[in-house]
Parts: sequence; C-alpha cells; structure tokens
Amino acid sequence: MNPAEKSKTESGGERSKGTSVLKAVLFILIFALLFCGISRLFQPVWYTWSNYDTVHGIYEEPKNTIEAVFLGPSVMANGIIPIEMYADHGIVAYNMGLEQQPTLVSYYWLKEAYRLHSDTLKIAVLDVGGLRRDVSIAYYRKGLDAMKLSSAKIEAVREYAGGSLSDAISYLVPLFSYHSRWPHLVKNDFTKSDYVIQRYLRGYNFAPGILLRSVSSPALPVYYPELDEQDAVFTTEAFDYFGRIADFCSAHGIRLILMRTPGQSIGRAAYEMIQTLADERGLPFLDFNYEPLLSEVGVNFAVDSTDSSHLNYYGALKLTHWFGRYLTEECGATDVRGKDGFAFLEEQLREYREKVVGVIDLKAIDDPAEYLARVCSDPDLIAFIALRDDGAYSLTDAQRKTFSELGLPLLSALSYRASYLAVVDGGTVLYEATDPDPLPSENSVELVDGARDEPLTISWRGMLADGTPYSLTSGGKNLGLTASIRIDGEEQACNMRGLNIVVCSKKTGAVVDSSAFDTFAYSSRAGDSMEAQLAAALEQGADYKSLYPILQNLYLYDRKCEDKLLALTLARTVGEDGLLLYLDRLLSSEDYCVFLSVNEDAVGRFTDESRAWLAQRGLPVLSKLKEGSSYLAVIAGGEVLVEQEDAGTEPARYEGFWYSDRLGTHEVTCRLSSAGVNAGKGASIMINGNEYASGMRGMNLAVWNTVTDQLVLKRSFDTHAVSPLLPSEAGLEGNA
Amino acid sequence: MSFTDYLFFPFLAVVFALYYFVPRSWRWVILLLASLAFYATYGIELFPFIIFSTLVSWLAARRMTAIYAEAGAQIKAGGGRELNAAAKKRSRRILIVSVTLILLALVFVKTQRMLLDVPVLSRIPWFFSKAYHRFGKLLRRIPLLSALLKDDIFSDHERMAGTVSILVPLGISYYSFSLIAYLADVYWKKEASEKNFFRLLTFAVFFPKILQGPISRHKSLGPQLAEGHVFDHRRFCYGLQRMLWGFFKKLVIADRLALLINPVFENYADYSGSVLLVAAIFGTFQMYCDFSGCMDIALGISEALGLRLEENFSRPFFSQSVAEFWRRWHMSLSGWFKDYVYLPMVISPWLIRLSGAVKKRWGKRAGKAVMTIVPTLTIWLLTGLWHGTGWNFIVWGLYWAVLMLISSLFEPELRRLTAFLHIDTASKAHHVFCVLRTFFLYVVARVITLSGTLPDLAGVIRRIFRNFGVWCLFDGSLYTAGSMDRPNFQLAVLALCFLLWVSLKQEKGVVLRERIAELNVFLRWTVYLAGIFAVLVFGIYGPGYKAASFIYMGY
Repeated sequence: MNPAEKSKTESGGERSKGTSVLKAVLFILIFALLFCGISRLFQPVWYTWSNYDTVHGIYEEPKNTIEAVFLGPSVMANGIIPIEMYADHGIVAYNMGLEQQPTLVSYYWLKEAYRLHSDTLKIAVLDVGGLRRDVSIAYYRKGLDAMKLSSAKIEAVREYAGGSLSDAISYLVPLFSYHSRWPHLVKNDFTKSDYVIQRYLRGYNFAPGILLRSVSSPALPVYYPELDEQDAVFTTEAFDYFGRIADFCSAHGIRLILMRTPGQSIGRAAYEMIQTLADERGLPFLDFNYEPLLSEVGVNFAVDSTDSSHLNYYGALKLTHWFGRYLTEECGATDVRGKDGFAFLEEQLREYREKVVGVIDLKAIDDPAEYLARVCSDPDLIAFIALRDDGAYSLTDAQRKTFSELGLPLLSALSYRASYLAVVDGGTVLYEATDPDPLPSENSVELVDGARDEPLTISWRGMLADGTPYSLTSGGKNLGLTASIRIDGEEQACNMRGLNIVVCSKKTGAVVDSSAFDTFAYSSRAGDSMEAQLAAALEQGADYKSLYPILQNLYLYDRKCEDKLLALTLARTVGEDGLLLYLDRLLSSEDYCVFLSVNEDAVGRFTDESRAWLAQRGLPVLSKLKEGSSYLAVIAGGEVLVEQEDAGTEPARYEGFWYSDRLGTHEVTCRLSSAGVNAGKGASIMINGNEYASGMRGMNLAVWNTVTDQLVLKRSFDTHAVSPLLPSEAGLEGNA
Repeated sequence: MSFTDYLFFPFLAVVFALYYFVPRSWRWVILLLASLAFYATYGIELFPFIIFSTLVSWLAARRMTAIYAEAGAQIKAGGGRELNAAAKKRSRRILIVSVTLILLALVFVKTQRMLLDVPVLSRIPWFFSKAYHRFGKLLRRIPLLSALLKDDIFSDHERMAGTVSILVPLGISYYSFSLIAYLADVYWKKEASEKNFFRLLTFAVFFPKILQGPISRHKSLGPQLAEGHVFDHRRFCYGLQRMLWGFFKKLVIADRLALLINPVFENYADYSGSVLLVAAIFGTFQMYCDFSGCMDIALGISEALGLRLEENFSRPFFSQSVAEFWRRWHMSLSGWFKDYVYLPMVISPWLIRLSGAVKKRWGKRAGKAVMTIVPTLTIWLLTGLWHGTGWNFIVWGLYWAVLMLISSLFEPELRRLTAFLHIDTASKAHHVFCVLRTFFLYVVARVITLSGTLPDLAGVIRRIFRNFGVWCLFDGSLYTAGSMDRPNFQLAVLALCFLLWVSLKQEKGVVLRERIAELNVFLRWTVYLAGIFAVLVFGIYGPGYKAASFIYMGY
C-alpha cells in the first residue's frame, strides 16, 4: 500500500469510527427521549384526593411565599382550605395533606416546602392521625413520586426502600416500578399533560361529587377521650419521623403545631401519649374531636362530615375559620393581603370563588326551577336532565312557568308519571323529549317489557364540544323506572325519583354537580346547606316533623348530640353527691322523661335543705320520704306524673306507656319498681323491656328523651351514705 | 448481583469501558478484577471455595506438566518408553487426588444440609460453620472488607450460637466441572497447563459464565481470556443484541410463566389436572427460556468482549429423539459427561471385561447391552445428582436413563415395528410426531422436578389422571391460575409464538441478526428500540415483583 492509499484508508477508518460514535450518541439520545416519554406515560396519576393538584401544585407556587404548611393524612387534605385562610386573614398557607400520608412523607414534604420557602415558612401543622398508621408502600409512592429530584427525595426513597439499592432505583425511575401497568393504562395516562392543576385549591381536596352531602347515619362525637380498641398502635417509624419533624422545625425556627382533625377519635391512650410528647417538646396539641375545641369549631358530623372521618366542605370551612384565627392571634401569622408579590393569591381567590363557591351555592339551592335558572344563566355550564318514576306531581305553577321561560315547554307541561329528558347548554335547549305514561289513570296494571314494540324508556345520545360522548335515559313509573346520565361511559345520575340533573363544565369537562329533586313528593328539596335551613325553619317555629326527612334526621341527630354531651359533662363533673344537680338540670327539659327508683334507702343523708329544694321542685313525696321506704317517680317534661311511696313491706310498682312523639302510634312502655329496706330491697327501671336501673343502693335514675326515643343517661346515687349537694352549693346551677 | 439487577448494567458498562481502555496485555486482569467484584457481590465469604479449587487445579496441573516434561526430557536423553507410562501413573495419582479434593468440596456443599441429619457426620458442617465464623471475624477487622460481608452469615458466633451457617458458593458446580475437565485434559496431554495462577482463576471465576455456565473448557476459553481482544463494533453490537434476546426470554417469557407455574405447583391440590398439565407445559418453556436466556446474556457479554463461549442450547424442542434432545439441551453438561465420564468408562478395562463375561454367558447382544447400560445409568444418575440431591432428581435421572436405554437397546425392535405399521419415517407428519413426542417426554420430566418431592409428584400425577377438569381450560380459570391474569397470560402466549417463529427461522438456518443488520438504519433502530422497550415494559421485574432467580443458579 502506498502512502497515499494508506492515508486514504486511515482517514476513511477515522471517518467510519466518527460515524459510529455519532450513531451511538444519536441512538442513546433517541433511547433516552423514548425512555423519558414512556416513563412519564407509565407514571400513574392520582387525581382523587387532590393528590395530583397537591404534589404538583406546590411547585407552581412562587418561591418564598408560603408561611404555613399543613401536613397529614386525608383528613387533613379534606380539613383545611388554605385560600379561605387567605381570604379571611391574609395567611399564605398550603395544605400538603395526602391520602394515608405516612409520617416519613410528611417529614420529607416539610423539608421540601422549607427548601422552596425557607424565607417565609414559619408554621407547620401536623395531623397526628398518621402516627398510628402502618400503611402500604403505595402511599409512600403516592406521596413522594411527584417530588422533584433532590437530596431530600433521594434520602426519602432510600429510607422507605428499606436499604435496598435496587428498590430505591426502581422508585426513582417510574418505568422500572410501573411498567407492569401496561394492561391498565387508561385515558388519564395519555391526557395527563393536558391537565390543568387547580392551584386555587392550594392542596385542599374539593370533590363535590362525594364530599358535600352529609352521611346517612353519622356517629355521635365522643367529646372526651375514651379508651378504644385501636389504642397504642403508633408505629416506630412514625415516632421516629415525628421526632425528626420536631427537630427540623426547632432547628429552622418553624413553629410546629400538632392537631387532630375532627373525625375519628384516636383514643385516650394515644391521645395521652401525643399530649405527653407535645408537652415534652413544648408543642401545642389541638384535638378537635374533644371538648372544648369541638364545640368551639362547631363541627356537626351530620352535615360537616362526609363519612364520619373526613370533613366535607362545610366542616372544612368551620375548621379553617377557627385555624385562621388561631394562627393570626396565637402564632402571629402575617397578613399579606395587598402586599407586593402576593397578587397571585387574589387571582387564586377569584378562581376559587368561581369554581368552588359557585358549586357550593348551586348545591344549596332547594328549588328545581331556581336551580335550572341558575345553571342556564352560566354559559360555561351544560345541564342534563333525566326523570325517573314521576317528577310532575308536586311541581308548582310558578315552577312550571319558570321552566317555560327557560325554553323547556315539555317540562313546563310535564304530565304525571311521564318520562322526560333534556339537555340545556348554557341556556340553550339542545334537546327536550317526553313520553307520557300510557296508563295515566290509577290503573294498577303495570306495563312490562314487551308490552310495547319499542323500548319503554326514552333515550338520547350526543357529544360534548370536546368530543366526549354522553347518553341519557329516562323511564317514568310505568316506562322503565330509571334515570341514567352517562358521560364518557360513566354513570353520573343519582337515579332517584323525580328530576335527576347533572351539570358539567364545558371548559374542563368535569361534572360540577349531580342532584336529584323529588318533585313527586316535594316541590323543593333540602339543599346541601342543611344546617342553615334547619335553623331557619326552627326559628320560624316549624315543627321538625313537617320538615324534609333529611332535615328531620339532622334535628334528631342534634338532639342526640346534646343529650350525649349533657350526659358526659354531668358524669365528668358531678360525683356521688350530685343527685340534686342532676335533677335540677334534667327536670327542666320538656323532652326528658325522668325515672326515679329507690333501692334500700335513698334519704339517709338528706338534709332539711335538700328536702326543701325537692319540695320546691315539685317532688313533695320525695321531700318527705322516710328512711327505708320504697319510692318511685316518673317526671315528664318537668311535670310529675307519678310519685309513689310505700313504707310497708310491699315494693312500690308502676307500669305505663306513652306514644312516641317521633313515631306516632309506636308505644313506649315503662315498668318501675322500688323496694326499700322494709320491702326487701331492689330497684328496677325498665323501658321498652330494657333494664336501666343499676341496682345499687340509693336513688336509681334514668332519663329518656321522648323526641329521639333514646336513653339520655342512667345513674345511681348512694344518698343513704352521701349527703346530696344543693345546686347552688356546687356552683353548677344552670351549668352543663 | 444478578444479570437482572439494575446495578449490573452500570457495572457492565464500566467493565466494557475499562476492558477496551487498558492495553491488550492487561485486559485479562480487568476481566479477573471484574469477575472477582461480581463474585464478591454474593459475599466474599464464598471466595475460599473457588480459590481452593483453582489452587488445587493449578498446582496439580503444573505438577502433571512438570512430570510429563521430566519424562519427555529423560526419553529425549535416551530413556525408555516405560518412563512415559510411569509419568502417566504418577500424573494419574495427582489427577485422582486433585479431582477428589475438588469433588469433595462440591459434594460437601451439595450435601451439607443432609449431613446435619446424620448423627456422626453432622459434626462436619458444624466444624465448617465455626470456621466460617472465625474467618468472618478475621475479615471484619479489615474495614473495606467488612462492608462486603453478608451479615446473616458472618455475624458474631455468639449470636449465631446454635445455628449452622450453610454456604452455597456461587457456580460451584460449573467451575468445579470446568476445572476437572481442565485437569483431565492436562492429564491426557490435550492441553498444556496454565502457568499463571491468576489466569486460571480468571477462567474459573469469569463472571458471564459463573452464574449458570456454560461449563467451559480451558483449552478453548483460557487462551481467549489471555488474548485481549480489540474492539469490533459489529461484534460488540451483536453481543448486546444477544444479551437483549436473553433478557427477553428471561424477563418477558420465563418470569411471566413463573407467575402461573410456581404457585400452581406449590398448591397443586387446589388446581385441576388440566391446569397442572398446562403449567407443566409452560414449565418446560419457562425452564428453556430461563436457562437459555441466561446463556444468551452470558454469551452476549462475552461476545461484546470479543470472547466466544460454548453454545449451551441448539433449539432442543425441535429434537426428534431424547438422545438428540440432550445433544441440544445443556450441551456443555452433556458434552462434559460424554467426554469425562462416558467415554472413559466405555474404554475402561473393567467394563470391557464385564461386557466380555456377559457376552460369553448371554450372547453378543447382552454383552453390547452392558456396554450401554452401565455408562448410561451412571451418567444419568450423576446428571440427576448434579441437579439436586433430592430423591426426585434421582428419579429424574433414572427416567432419562430408561428412555435413553429403550431407544438404544430396542432400536431394532422399534425399527421393525415402524416398518410393520408402514410408518413413513421420512414424512413431515412423522417428523412432527417425533418432535411432539420428545417434547411430551420432557414435559413429564419437568413435572418430576416441578413437584419438588416424590409424594408431591404422586399427588400431581393423581390429579392429572383423576381430576383432569377439562372445563378449566375453557371457563377462564386457567387465565387466573396462580398469580397470573388474563393480559399476562395472553402476552405470554404471544411471546411464546414469537419465540417459536424465531426458533423456526433459526432452525432453517436464517441468521436473524444479520438480516436485521442488513436493514436500513431507521428500520434497524426501530427493531432495536422495540426490543429494548419490549423488555423494559413487558418484563417481569421491579418492586412488588422480584425477577425470579435464574433457575440454574442453584446448581
């Protein structure tokens, strides 16, 4: 090979080598791009519990603006509305609460929040409910996957990966962890880049579909810490990270507040454990499940909670207002309203009012005509109406007139038991159809499938502007008995009797509200602002039995709460010498029926003053009762119905019944007996077959609420051995 | 660190970079260091075993070479031919001693759990356990090494009091057999002994083959390791492609099938016979994909490094007879047994004498049969024991031995029967029948190993024959047997079809990677990227599901 050829070959070889390197680099680049794209595709998104908005939203906030951060599990995510805190007090807060948030996740999000807002972050509020949870790895992933890569995230991942480097790598690279989702990819996975984060929520979980309505049978508050089965299950990891949170806050000048959102009580042992921890570190611990904070906040689980554990919007509003005041008054939180650099909060507040408060207002409307008029007035909203069973019977003329004005003539003229469908887009009626009941008379013959050639129900299919398909079905009483509104394949209608209405936002495609108006039974409904409606009705002197069933239930629930609080407060504050204090508090209530029965002797330590007090309260027989005598009494609504004494050898006995105030014809029976020393000892207070006397010596007492038809309390006082105090002596008169 | 460990990839990248970066004469050192590092990830406490066996082999081989050289020199100087025989005799003694030592280590490791149950012999594992602890204590004093110690094995003896540490050195069956082959070849003068101990250690511990083989021969691999290859772009890419194919077989097929097989056989009483049969059929594919997948990875790594390891598989499921099957399945093991057990046996004087005696008494055919039966039974019993020490492995070995013997001893009768039935052995249908028959015979063997114990094997067979439950193949319950679900089941079947298509092409002599290399860059890269992401997306790995350990790693 001559030198020229050799040089040519070498240059050719170098060129080929260069091309190979270039190709390799290009291949690696394409691979990396695809890898990132596919990784992103497989990374799951959790829109529920506001997870996506919370964990991504915090990075959207301008740096060094957040002053208070709320951490904890879902109860926290549902419990605090930071933008309301801004509206009321100008506090810049962010709710970092996440579903089942482990304390490890709370700690690392606190660190991350501090990294982003080190100049302003001064307050951290931690819900201690998470300390008792030993949650699955999924919640660590849900909590931390979206955290941007930082030393804190790597540290967190290494911690929860349990020291396994392979697992830690998997957790940091979504494709390694989530590639097995390939059979479960859904629309959201492909459209997540189009999702607009709801920054105005600032971490609050607002889910109108499930969170506004009250629970059907809410549990009563516990009011005071009680021992429960779940005590002492705090995890070691949680305690470790709690310590780290406290140390971190202490080292960085952050005020740490421990709290427990109203919902589920953590139990007395756990409560005391947390209180001890808080005391050791000098931290405030606010448990809103117990008195006095529960009453201060005013949370009513029947209307403020969605499932006895999580607050709904109304409950969150109450807690937020309380906390806003607390942070301002006790922690010196800054009011940034009007200050430079915080104008974005005004924009968030405006959006919040439009999107959240607007929905809340809509849900509070009780009149279907007014509801539809409100929906029709908003060009962004589209309403779907499907009728089930009957929706015409209780419609008023005024309502029919409004429907007519809204351009819904068929609804205006709706006939009894007819099917009905409509689609109203920003006030424009796109579709309206009805199918009258073929058996309009009081014919008992029901139509069955096949009785007509065509399907009994009426249906309609259409498409939203963005291409999302929807379908509506309605069946009146004899026409299928159904109401269905499916949007993008998902059922959204309540499928209740009457008018079922689903409202969607055209901009976001999200379901804004799904309501049902039982216009067969009522011309209006109880809106979601039930507490206000009940208060207004009672103020106007309405009998609770005339209200909507849901309001009746609320009324009864409130009464039961009052009874429980009264019973617990008396039990905690009054001792063995408190018979007269009890009677003083109980005899004055119109709804209480008080049963008294003496076992052996109840007047051994009665003083002249106490006898005089009893005589004054309308119990003459008891005021003069001889030692060792049998005695029983029934006092209803402050009026003494029965008062018997028997100094002989026979026990005193009484049997009676009354009709339940709530259930009308339902009988409530009572059987009382009392045997003093002379009659052989013994006391019995049986109501509806249940024994409520404790059988102890002295005065046995049971109180029945004639409105709720439930026992309020039962207790015995050994007034043979202990002298009863006068209410004035105990300083408790009129208290409790 | 397994081949499927995330950390293996950066490790491999560093090895490739260093290997091609250092001067050629030093490249074997990189391979040695990389192999030791790889081995150390399984615990440095395992080193004494491999170093012991390698040292024994090195010393023995050196000694045998020296003896032969000495005899050669004496013959050259005018000595008689009998010197050669004397040298061979001396070398044989060395060979026997060294092979015995290597086998003792192997047998001890394989049987130490069993020894614990034997009253007299139970002291042996105890003694070694105590020695491990003392060794561990010593190592713990060295700061860097202490980090590499496995806590559960080398913890304080006091804490471990009352327990026996059972160490199973990684790849002991593979490197022991390779070293024995090396010693035999040196003894037979088929190759010269390795002068450098560390080079022999590189051969023994070479990381691509330490997990599951192949059982390499030193005369083939040793020089390659020492050579230090130049970088060849095409060969490097081919190596990576082969690795990718191996990962596909392992992660996409084998581990996916394991979702069904392992739970079904662990709880066989809960499943109908039809499901068990399907699981057994899948089990054969799982075994093949797992083992041959690992081989592809090992061969791919070696190829990328410029080395050529022995092929271990040659599409065994296309075999028409069990003999052919074993010529195409785990070829390095079959070849080893053939070269170092079977052939020495058939030419051994005692077997020839025995055959002669039998021939004299029962005729020619019986004498010939002895020459077949004795070595066949021996190697299959040994093959069974190599796979495991349980009774089911002995049954497994006997099963194959019986099949081999039937096909070999009754060949004339079988041929006559075929002729009598007018079966056209050249027809395609017969070919397919033979392939399916061989496959079915392997399925039966797989049932034996999958069942775990003999009572379980009996239970499985009972369920297959008594509770077949054919409807389970149609009512959807098959899809959800074990930890399987319908999408994964369907994907597994699809992947198996793809494997079949590739195998058919290969069987026809098509070299697919050359076909791919001929495509234009766009299509070629599409194929590569599709392959990579198929493994990344459809592979069974990651948290929540640990990639099943390679099945043959336990041997």
